[in-house]
Amino acid sequence: MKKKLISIILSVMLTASMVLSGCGGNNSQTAGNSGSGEVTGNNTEEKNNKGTSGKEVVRVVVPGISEDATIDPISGIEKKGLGEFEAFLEEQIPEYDINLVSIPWDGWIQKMETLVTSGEVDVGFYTNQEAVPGWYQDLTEYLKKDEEVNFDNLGQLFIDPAVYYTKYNSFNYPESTGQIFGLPMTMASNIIVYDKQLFEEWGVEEPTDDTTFTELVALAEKMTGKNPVTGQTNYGGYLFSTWMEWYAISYDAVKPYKSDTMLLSDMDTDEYVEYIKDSPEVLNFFTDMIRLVDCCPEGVATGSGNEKFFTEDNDIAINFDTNNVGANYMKYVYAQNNEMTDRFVPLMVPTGKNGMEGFPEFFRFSITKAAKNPDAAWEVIKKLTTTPEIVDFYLTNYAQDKVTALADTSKVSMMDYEINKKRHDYQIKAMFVTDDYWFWRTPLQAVNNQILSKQLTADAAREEFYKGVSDWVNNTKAQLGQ
Amino acid sequence: MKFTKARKILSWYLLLAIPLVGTIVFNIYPLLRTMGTSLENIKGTFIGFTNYKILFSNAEFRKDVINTLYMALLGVGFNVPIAFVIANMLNNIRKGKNIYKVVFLLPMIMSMVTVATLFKYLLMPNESGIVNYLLGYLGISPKLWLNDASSARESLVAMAIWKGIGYNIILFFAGLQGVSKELYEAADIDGANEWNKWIYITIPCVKNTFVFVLITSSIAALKRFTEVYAISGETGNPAGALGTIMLFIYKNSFSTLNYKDEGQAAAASVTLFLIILVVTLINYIVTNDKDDGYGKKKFGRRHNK
Repeated sequence: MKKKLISIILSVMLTASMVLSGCGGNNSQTAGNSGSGEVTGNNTEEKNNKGTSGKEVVRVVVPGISEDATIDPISGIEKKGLGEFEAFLEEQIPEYDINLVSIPWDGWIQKMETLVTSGEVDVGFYTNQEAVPGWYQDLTEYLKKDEEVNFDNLGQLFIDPAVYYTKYNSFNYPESTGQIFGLPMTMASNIIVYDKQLFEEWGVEEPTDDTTFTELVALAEKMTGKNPVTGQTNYGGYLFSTWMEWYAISYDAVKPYKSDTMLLSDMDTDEYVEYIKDSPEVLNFFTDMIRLVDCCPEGVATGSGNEKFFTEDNDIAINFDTNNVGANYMKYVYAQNNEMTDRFVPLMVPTGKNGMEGFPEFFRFSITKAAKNPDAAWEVIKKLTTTPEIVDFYLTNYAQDKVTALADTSKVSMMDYEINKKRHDYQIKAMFVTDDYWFWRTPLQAVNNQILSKQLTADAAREEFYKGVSDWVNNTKAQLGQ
Repeated sequence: MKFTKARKILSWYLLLAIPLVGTIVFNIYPLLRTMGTSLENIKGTFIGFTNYKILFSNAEFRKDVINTLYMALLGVGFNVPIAFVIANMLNNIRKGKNIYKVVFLLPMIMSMVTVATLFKYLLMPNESGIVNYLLGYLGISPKLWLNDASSARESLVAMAIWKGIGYNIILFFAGLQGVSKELYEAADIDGANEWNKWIYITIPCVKNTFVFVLITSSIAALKRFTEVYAISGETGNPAGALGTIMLFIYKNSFSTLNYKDEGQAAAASVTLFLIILVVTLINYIVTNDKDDGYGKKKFGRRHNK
C-alpha cells in the first residue's frame, strides 16, 4: 500500500515536472557551454525588465562566442569570453544593461528562430535571406525619425553595398520587399590564396589584380604534374563545393536581379532563365570549372586533398576554396607570421565584365518581434553597428576573417592591415548587388557538385543548369501560388 | 476486494499514462505536425500535395531514395549474416570470449564522425591512403574509394558495418546463450550433423533475435545520415552517390549553405516514414510464421514426418 502510494506520488511529480519544464517563461535563460553546442547566456534577474543595476535590460543574441576566453592556436589572438564582451558593451552603451546570449554558428538559423519565436531575446541577427520578416521588426519608422542613424546619413555611415543590402528583397516574402530588418556590422570579403614558392619552382609568372579567372585556370593547368624542382606531384588548383557557385559572377554567367515587387510571376524569364540555354558565358564558366577540377587532387569531390595547404609540404598552387582559405590566411596575418605570409599570397576574386564578383554576405543586428522594449533595442543595435570601438572589438575577437561595413574605418584598428583595407575597398567597388539569388544559386550548387565529381561535360552542365533554374522558378511559383 | 483490484489496475494505467503522454507529445504530435507542414508552403499556407509533386519530380530526391535503399540492402545484407556467423564462433570458443567481445564492441563506442575521419584517411584516393599503399605492394593501382561515384556507397557501407557489427554480434551472442543444450544433445542422439543442428536448432531458436536485429538494422540503415554527412558534408558527393533521404531532409530544413524548403523536407520525412513502415511490415510478415520462436513446431513437424 505504502509502495503504491509512493509510486503514485512519484508519477504525479514526474508528470508535473514534465509539463512545467516545457513552460519556461520568456525571461528564462539557459546556461551552458557554447562549445557543447548549447545556448549560453549570462543570467539576469529581471523585474519589470530592469536589471540589478536598475537599467533597462536588453537581451542580445550573438553567434559562436564561448563563455570563457579562448586562444586561437594559429594567430595566438585571445578571443574574449562572453562576460568580457558584455562588460565592454555596457561600458560603451552605459544606458542599458546588456545581457548577451550566445548560440553556436553550427545550425544557427534554427537556434536563432527558437530564441526569437520564444521571446528569449530583444536583439537578434541574420546574414542573408532567412525568414526574417517573421522574426524581426521593420526598422523603417526608426530610420525616418532617428537623429543619429537615419535614411539621410545611412550612406555616410555604411559603405554603399551595405546600404543597398539593408533593404530586404526575397522571392519568398514579396510583401516585405524594401523593408529594413537590420543594420550591418560586418561583411564577408573572400580571397583566393596562391603559393608563391610553387610559382617560382614551376617558373610561372605570378597573377596580378588584373588577372582574369580564365587566366588563373590556365596558370593552374601549367602547374599540375611533377614539380620540376622537387619532383613531387603538384596540383594547380583546389576547389570546394561551398561558395563555388559565386565564381559564376566572375564569368557573367549569372545576372543581378532587380525587381520592385519580388513576385516571381513578374520575372522576365527570357532575361533570367531562357538565356542560359545558349549563353556562351555559362558555357565558359562550366568549361573552366571542369578544367580546374582536372587540376585538383583526387579527393576534391568530398572536400579532401588540401590538407597540406599552409604547410611546408604544400602541393597546391592556387587554392580557390574561399570558404576556408581566407579565414586561415588572415590568422597568419594577425599572427605576423611572415614566413607564411611571404610564401602564401592573397588574391582578390577576379571580376567579370560587369565589374562584379563574390558572395554578398552581411552580418546584421535586428529587433525581434517579441522585443520587450523595441525602442531600447533600437538604441542598442544603433550603437552595436555604428560605434567603431564595438565593431573593432567584435572583428578582433570573433570575426577575424570579416571586414567592417562602416564607411569610415579610421577608428577600426583591424582596418590598419593593408589586406583588410584592400578587401574593404574591393567590396565597395566590386560587390555583387542583387535583389535575390536563390533561383540560380540552388541549381548551380547541384550542377557544381556534378562538376566536382567529373560527371558532366560543359554542354551537359549548361543544360542541367537551365533545367534546374527553370524548375526552381516554376516550383517556387507553384508553392507560393503565383 | 474488488475495490482493491480496481485500484491496482487504475494505478498501472496511471503509471502507463506517463510514457503515453511522452509518446503523444514527442512522437505523435511531431509526426502529425510534419504531415501538416508537408502540405504547406514556406509561409504556412495550405498548398495541398504540391510539395509531394515537386518532391517526386526531383531527380536528386529520386537518386537519394535509390541510394538509401541500396545502401540499406547492402548494409543489412552483409551485417546481419556476418554478425550471426561471428556470434556463433564466439559462442563456441571456450576461452577468451570476453576479449573478443570487447574487440568487436570497440568500434561501436567510437563516434561515427571519428570513424568517418579515420576511414577518410585510410581510403585516401592516392598513395598516401593506407589501403592504397598496401594495395601498391600487391601491384594494384590506387583506387578512389569514397571519391568515386561507382565505389563510394560500397566503401561507406563497409565502414558502417565495421563500426556497427559489434552490437549485432552481442545481440546474437545473447540469443545463442539462451538456446538449450538439451536440444543439441537430442540432435546428437538422432545423428544430426553440425550443419543440421545449425539450420534446425540454432537458427530457429534465435529467430526472435533475428527479427529484432533485422528490424532495428533496417530502420537504422534507412535513416543513414551521420556517416554520409561526415564524409561528404551536405553535398552527398561524389556525384550525389552518398546522398540519402535523411541528408535531403537535413539540407532542406537545417542547412545554412543551401536554400531551405521545409515543405520539401517535411514531404521527404513523411515519405521516409512510409518507406520504413513498409520495410518493417515486410520484415515482420516474412519473419513471423506463427512459430513459437524456439523452433519447436518446425523442428517437431519436420521430424514427425
